[in-house]
Amino acid sequence: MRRALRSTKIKKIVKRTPGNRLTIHFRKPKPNYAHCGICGKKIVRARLRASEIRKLPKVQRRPERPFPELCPKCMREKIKAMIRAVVKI
Amino acid sequence: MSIFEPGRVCIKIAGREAGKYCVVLEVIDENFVIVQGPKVRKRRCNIAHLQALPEKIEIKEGVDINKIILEKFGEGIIK
Repeated sequence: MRRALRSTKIKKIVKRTPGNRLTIHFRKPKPNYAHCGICGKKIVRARLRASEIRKLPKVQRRPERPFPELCPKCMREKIKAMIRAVVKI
Repeated sequence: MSIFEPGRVCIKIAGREAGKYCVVLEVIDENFVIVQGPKVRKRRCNIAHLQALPEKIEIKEGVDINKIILEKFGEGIIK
């Protein structure tokens, strides 16, 4: 096991292979939650490392709605504000 | 007499079609209506996800609603 993998943060999982021998699988820690751009609250979304995100299709990397970097509540407030700017109610 | 009667022009606030114009076709109950728009699929939508506008348009048979909205309002307020 090389030096970098000996840290406690990396999980070691012992697996039995079809060839009936034991191997160790290493699992790196998950990154933090995403946070909303306006209110700064936690956005409940998949916590994936950059290497895992890169493997996902583009559509699954972020929500399909406009302003994906905001939480749904802030997004609605922003769109309502934009509507009020454009349309006189 | 809720403001979400058939013909009411609205803007969707939530979902991937947020910021797009749509018109109420039918009212299901006090929470749900059927909406359609040039960039909005004909769908059942919660009125909480809609922002009503003062304008209304008539809904007649054989009248292309999407074309009317496209000419009068455009697709939406967001690109």
